This record gives sequence, C-alpha cells and structure tokens, in this order.
Amino acid sequence: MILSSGKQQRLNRIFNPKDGRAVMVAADHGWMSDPTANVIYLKRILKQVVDGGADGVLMSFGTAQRIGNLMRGKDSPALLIRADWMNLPRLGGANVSNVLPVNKFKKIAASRAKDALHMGASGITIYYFIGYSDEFEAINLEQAAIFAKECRKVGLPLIIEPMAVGSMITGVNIAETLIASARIAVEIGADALKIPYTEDVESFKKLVDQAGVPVLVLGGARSKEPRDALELVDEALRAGASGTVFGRNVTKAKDPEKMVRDLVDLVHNGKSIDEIFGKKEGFYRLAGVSANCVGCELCELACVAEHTGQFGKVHSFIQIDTKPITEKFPTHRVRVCTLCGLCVEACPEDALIINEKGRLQLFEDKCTLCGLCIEACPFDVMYPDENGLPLFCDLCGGDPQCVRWCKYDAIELRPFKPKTKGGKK
Amino acid sequence: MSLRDRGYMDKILRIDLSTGKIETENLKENVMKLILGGRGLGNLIMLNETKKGMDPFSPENPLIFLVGPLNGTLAPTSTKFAVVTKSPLTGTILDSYSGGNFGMAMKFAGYDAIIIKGKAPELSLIEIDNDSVKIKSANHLKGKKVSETNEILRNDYGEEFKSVVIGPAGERMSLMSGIFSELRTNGRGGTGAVMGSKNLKAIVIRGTYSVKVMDKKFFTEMAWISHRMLRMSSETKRLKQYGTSNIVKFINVAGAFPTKNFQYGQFEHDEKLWGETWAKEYWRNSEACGGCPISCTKVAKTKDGLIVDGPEYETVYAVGSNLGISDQEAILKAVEISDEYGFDIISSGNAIGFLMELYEKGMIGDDKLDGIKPIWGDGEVLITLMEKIGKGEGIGALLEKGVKRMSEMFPGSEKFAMHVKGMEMPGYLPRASKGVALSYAISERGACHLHGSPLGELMGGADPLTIKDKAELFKVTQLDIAVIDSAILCYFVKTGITLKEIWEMVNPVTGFEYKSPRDLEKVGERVTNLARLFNLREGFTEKDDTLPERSLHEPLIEGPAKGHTVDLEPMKKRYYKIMGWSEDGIPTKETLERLELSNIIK
Repeated sequence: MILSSGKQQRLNRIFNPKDGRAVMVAADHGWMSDPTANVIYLKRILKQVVDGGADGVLMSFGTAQRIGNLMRGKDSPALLIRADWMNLPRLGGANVSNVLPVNKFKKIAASRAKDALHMGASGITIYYFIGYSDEFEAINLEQAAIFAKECRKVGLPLIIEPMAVGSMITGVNIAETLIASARIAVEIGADALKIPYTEDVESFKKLVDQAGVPVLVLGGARSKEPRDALELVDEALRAGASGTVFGRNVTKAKDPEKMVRDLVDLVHNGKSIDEIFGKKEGFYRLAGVSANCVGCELCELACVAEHTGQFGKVHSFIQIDTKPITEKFPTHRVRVCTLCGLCVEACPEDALIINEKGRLQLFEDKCTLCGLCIEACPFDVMYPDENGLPLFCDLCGGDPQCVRWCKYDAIELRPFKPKTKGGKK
Repeated sequence: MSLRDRGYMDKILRIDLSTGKIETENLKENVMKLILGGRGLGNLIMLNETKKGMDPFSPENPLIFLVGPLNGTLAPTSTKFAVVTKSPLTGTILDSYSGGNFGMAMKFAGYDAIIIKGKAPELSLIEIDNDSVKIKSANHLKGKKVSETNEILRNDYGEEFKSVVIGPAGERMSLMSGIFSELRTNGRGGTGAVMGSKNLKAIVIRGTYSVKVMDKKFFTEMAWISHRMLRMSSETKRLKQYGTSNIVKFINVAGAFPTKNFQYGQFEHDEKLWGETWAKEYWRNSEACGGCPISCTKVAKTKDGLIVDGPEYETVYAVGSNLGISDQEAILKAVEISDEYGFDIISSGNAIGFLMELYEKGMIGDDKLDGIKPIWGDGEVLITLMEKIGKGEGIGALLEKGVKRMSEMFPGSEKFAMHVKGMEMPGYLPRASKGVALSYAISERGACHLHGSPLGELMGGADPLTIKDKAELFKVTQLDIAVIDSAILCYFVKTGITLKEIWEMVNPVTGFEYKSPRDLEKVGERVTNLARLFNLREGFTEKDDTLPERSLHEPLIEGPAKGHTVDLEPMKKRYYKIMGWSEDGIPTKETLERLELSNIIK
C-alpha cells in the first residue's frame, strides 16, 4: 500500500514499526454516555495508561484539549481524536439515570480532520454503523466518505470503527455483517479498523484477511475478570489482528497501568496468557467462601467434566449445599478438600499421603480398600471408585477448574503449609 | 454413536396416573435433528398425540416436562426446563419455562421428557430416583402452600431430590395456577391447574447419571466463550446487579410501562419500582439457577423480616404500575401470596387491574365486591384481593377466572379487557412498541413477551413507534427464542450471546453438524410451525391473532406514543407472508415440505 508520507509517518506513531502492532486505549466515553468514574477521573487514569506504555489514546476533542498535554513528549502515546458523535448508549436502558433518554438514533460529524491535525493528533476515529436501517447506513457512508477525503488531503490516518447494531443483527448474520462492514470501511478509505471481535477465530481471520489494513480489536463492556479481556485479545491476535483498542476494560480496571502492561506483553512482547498470569508458586489449597456463593453449581459441573469427561454432579470434589432462602444467610455452603489431612491420618496403611508437591497421593498397592479415609473426610468430598479405591480432589494438576469457572469468588486458592509428609506424624 | 452419547439421555418417560403404568421409549435421531428437543419435542408430542378439541382438564391432556441437549452441561443456564401441555386458560398449546434445579436433576435422572397422562385416584406425588419411578399418595400435602410442601418434601427426601410442586391454587385447578420449582416458576397459562387436574401435587427427582457429549473439549471451549461474552455484556451485568426490574425506568421513559390497566404508558412513581431502588432498599442477596453466570434472582427482606424472592420486572408492572401502586411492601407481600398459593402474578395483577377499571367506570356493583373498594393505588386492596385469589373465595373466585372470562360477564368491558386468546398481557404497552404488539397478537400461547417480543425496540434496537420492518424483526426474535427453548437455555442468555454461540455449542454436543446458525434458525421455524398447526387444529384462526380494542382503537393520551394505536393488520399480513403462511395464517404445504415437517406430523 502506498500512502502519503504524512499518513505513513503518523501511522508509525500508532503502530509500532517493529512489529506493526498497537495497544490503543479508548477514553472517549464521556460524551456518548453518562460520566462514570472512568470519565470523571480520566486525568489520573490517563497517567497510568501512559506509564503502562500504551501506543495511543483515543479521546474526544474537548478532553484532548483539556488533558492531552499529559501525552506530550517523544515516547508518549499517540493521540487519536474521535471525530464524530453518536447517541447509541443513550438509546439503551443503561443510562437513564443521568442523561435524557432519546428515541432517535443520531450520528454527526463533530470535528474536522484539519482540526484534529492542529491538535497534534496522529489520526481520527469515526463510526460506521451498519444494520440499523438503510437510511442510517447511507448517512454513515456519506459522512465517512467526507472524512476520508479530508484525511487524504491533510495526510491524517483514518481509523473506521464499523459497528453492527440494531435488532435485525442476530446470531445468523452478525459475523457476516461485520466482515462485510470491515471491507466497506476499507473501500471508503480506512487506514486501519477498530472493530468488535466476532467471538471466533475462524470468522475473525476471514475479516482480517478481507480487510487488508491493520485491524484493532475492541473490548466492549468491562469484565470483572481481566483475564476475559486478555483471552479475547489473544484470540484476535491469533486471527491476525494488529492489536487492540480497549476502553472500559482498561479505564475501569482496578489497576489500569497493569492492564495496559499486560496488553503490551501480549501484543508486543509475545507473552502467553499463562505467562502473564504466572503459575501459582508454592503450596496452595482450596477454600470455600460460602457467603459469596449464589448456588450456580458450575463448579460441580466443571469438576466432574474435568475428571470424567462427562457432565454431571456425582463424585464432584466440590459440593454446594443449599438451604431454603427463608433461613439465615448465607444460603449456600461450599464444601471442598482443604487438604486438612484427616484422611491421611485415618489411613492405617500409609497408602495416602500429602506428597512433596502438596497434593494428596494414593499408593494403590498399599490400599486395602478399607474406606477409613473416606469416612474421615469432614467435608464428604472423597468417594470410592467402582473398585473401592478412594477418589479425591487433585487440584486438577494445578489449574483447579472449580476456581476457573466460579466467577462469584466463592472458591479461593489459599497458601498452604503441608503439615504431614509421607504419612502419619 | 447413539443419542445417549451426544447430549441426550435418549429416554422418554411415560407415566399414566390412572393406571399406574410406567413406560419408557427412546428418541428418534432423525426427528431430534429437526426439532432439537425441549419445546420442539413438546410441540410435536402435543400435535401427534392429542385429539382435536381435547379438554385441557381431561386425563388425556399430556403434562410434559422437557429438557434439551444443552441441559446439564457447562452451557450457561443449563438447568432450564419446559412444561408443555394444552392450556386451560387459553385452549392453545402452552409451553412454560422455569429455572431452579429441577431441570438438571431430571436430565441427570436420565430423561429428556416426562409425559404424564391420566388422573390419579387420590392426591399423589411422583418419586423418581434414576430408573425407579413410583407413584405415592400425597394426601399429607393436601392444601399445603408451596413453601410448606417444599419443606415437607425436603425433610422426607433430603437435599439431593429436587422438586416441582403446585400450591392450593393448582390443586383447585385455578386457571392462573403455576408449577413451582424452588424460587422459580412455570408461571403462565395454568400449568399448575393441569397438574392439579391429574391429582398430582409434586414430583421429586434425583439423578446420578452424567450427560455425555460428542466433543467435550471443543464444546467446553465454546461454552467458555459464551460465559465470557455474558461476563463482558453490560446488559447482562445490569441484570446481575439490578435484576429484571433494572429496565423499569427505561420502559417508562419510552412510554411503554403499562399503567392503570394499560390506559397509560408512564407511571409517576417508576423510581420506586426500579431495580436500583430495590437493590438499595430491599435486596439481601442474589441466587443463581443451576449453571447460570447471571444470578438475576434477588432475595428481598421486607421491613417486618419477610424473605421474598423478587420482585421481577413483570411483578412490579402487574401489581405495581398497572394498578397504580407504588407501595413496595404491598408488592412484596403480593409476591409472597402468589408464590405461596401458587399462581401467576402477571395474570392475577391484570385481573385486579381489570376489576379496578370496572369499578372506576361503575360497571360492577358493590354486592359482588365483598366490601372491598378496588381503587387504583391501594396496596391494602391488592393484598386482600391476592389472598382471595389464592383461596379462590368471594371476589377471588371471579378474578382467578382471568380477564377474558370476567369480561364476558360485564357487557361493554371487552374494550378494555387486556388479553389475547385469554392470556393476560405482560408489561409492555402495545401502542408504544409496535413489534411487541405484533408478538402479543401472534404468540402461540396468547399475549406473551417471551415468544418473540422484540423488546430490543425499546432498548435502542429499532424505532418502537413504526410498524415498518416489525414483521421481520418479530420473526427473527421468535425463531431465536424457539431455539433457546428447545436447546433449552434461559431466555436471558440473549443479553450476552447470540444464535451463533448457541450453534457453536449445539454442534459439538449433538454432532448434528448444522452447517450454520441459519440451520438452527430453521429448527426454530419448525418448532414455531408445529405450535401454529396445533392451534389451527384447535379451531383458532387468523381472527384470533388480534389485540384488545384498547390497543387497536383507543389513541394513547400521553407520552412519547401519544395519539398512537396499533395498526396491526399490515404487520400481521406481512408476517404471515414471510413465514410462508397463507393469508389466513395457515402454513402452506410448500412451507411444511421445505421444513421437512410433513413426514414427522401424524
């Protein structure tokens, strides 16, 4: 692709020339939805984003004017200006508390390419809505074409953000629509795309291939789990994406700087998600936090699936008891193997030990099938298999599936000191 | 590989309560691929195994409990189950869904469907422990309220057994009575009455089998992505935080929050009925049904210490705005009464709203009112009337017949009798949401918001006030939900995932190799057509696909939809056309052949 030198130079500010990838942060939410903490305290958050090493930040014109100075300097992130405005979040139910709800979907051009250039921007971002109605799509296309023309004239990169919205967008057509909209955006003149993940690698790869320009995946609403957002980016990168534009998953994160660092590690430094989160060091054990349990029982299903390859609850090494809600809170009790060692103590044959890895281990040749260990378990999470050998929690070899699937913080990994080694004290 | 290794338990359990006969049979693979299970299988059984004109209270009316291929797995919300039968309230086919833990237990006990026919000689319960099925006397449960019944069953059977029960209203065969599974309910259309007509008080079930799937690794990855999408959806997050009533304010702003028996679309005290207010003032904790990452069930504690589940959006509309009531304590008390006697709060709230308007218009005499003055906004009246409906006494015996039957007794009142096909309306004002209006008119079980109402039009997905493209919008929503109900997942997965993700999960579970989400959408189309065929057979016609006169002809007097009525006919005709139905709403021969239904319909 041959670009004007202005465009190329500025794209190099956004995409790291070494790997052609970028970690962008979107901080343009304030003028489309109600001002939540990530908008009000953006100045503080922005410092963290800069420290985290983001390649660029997307802002409204007004915000850039106010706090864009935080990004001056040779190695500071590039500035992207959100050049248009829309009211989609105000159409939804989430914002009725702070702004006047609206019935008509509107989108307008809010600033021109040359204004952004004067502001020191390295590019502008605009929406391209598809799927809502024919009329609305036509307006979008026309506005995008005008922006594209302006950007060519002044040598400013144009990043188009195609969004498939409206009730007619369903599971039947969403991937196809996004793929088509990506291509349309490129035809209009996009130098790069900011686009939602199609939620599967195969179709996103198709999207990236057809686009032919760098594709940045966006994050959407924040997940409580930073890992969710990173997994999504990881999948998009595997499909050929050139990086991310993450907004709320960064600006609303507990630690925005760390979130940006993690993204940089993933996008630029070739680290895997497991490397980013690191393996738990030392000895650890499970602990139930009953007050947090809502009784979804996903932990039980995940446990059985991991150990049997089937879905059920029998012989789950984590058990959730449920009391009627009319009784005292908490309604649920989480029972797990806490490596308390009572089973080990109960074994008359030293067949069961807590080994050097801090895990329960059975020597089958020593086991007499007496069942005393199972009886001794205070949490009733040991079971005899069909031959009478005890079955017990093995912490899934280090990645306990109950912990992975529980998103209510009702199961924790806690540090643990093995008190018995090699059998009885 | 048999279906038993691919998401199904490959077993239908048949119980005849008259003869005590218990049989099982296998599923047919070619049929299951066409209709998936759940609602699909229920609809097919109703069509093939019942005779035209069957009395819903006759022993022949099957009461069918169903799960689908995704139940019991790590797919989100995998405990949902269906009850399919012929509705005594509407005379249509009836499918009703519930969370709780019964669905998963039923699947693990080894059944895809439990078909109950006949009538037990005395009040009975069915005890299912995997392959062991016993019919036992339930005389000791006679007249017991829902929580009392649950407590006795819990003491008798322990926590491993999950149950569905009916309350006194169901025993009395009240047309509004539901089936109760822990905190959740098969609420609508009178499923509880059908169960009561069979002299069946409860089913307790324990299962220790596992569900096997075709490709566990791939399926688990896909299920994980669905869970992740739900975690990353702001809509789901709101549901998790503020329950279903999180949308009150928005629906009110759109002018679609039914107020005073659907006379208005905006309620001045919406703030008090809003999820954020309940969360602040009443909710103690959240509960999740099996396999659910959302946990929309909220547990409230009233000022005098009463622990109640809810209220849901439909509750705060039906016994709140629709009655002009903003008394939160009274609303929670009403929830408790309906949950204890075991009846539908949407239908009962509507019946009370209808009564209040009759009273307002001077159309009902004081002699019928047991000394009660049913005026708008009075929480005490609400509580008294709910008690009377629960007991079926005095004015309660009139109210529990439902709005349609009530209106037949008061000439002139049909103009504001807010029902379709005898089913009372859910909480979205048709005049302010034209796609929803169409769905109320068409839905196979009468006015219903869960059979394809494109509620997205009220959330920014489309212009709610235009009829343009609404037939198309309703169709895609309807088919989506028909798949969800056949798989079976919870309606609320729609807040975070689409048919694409369901397709990605169904394939590795069943090995059916649907080529694209479109193939699965076709399953939804089949399921929808089966219900249509049942209703047509029962004598329903295109004329029954209509709305109350108030929705069609009475211009709304305020709010964003001021001056609006529903111009139903053009949407309806368009809908029939894109469904491949005749102008009279009958699926054409070509449509049935295209959907490969001709061979499986008897």
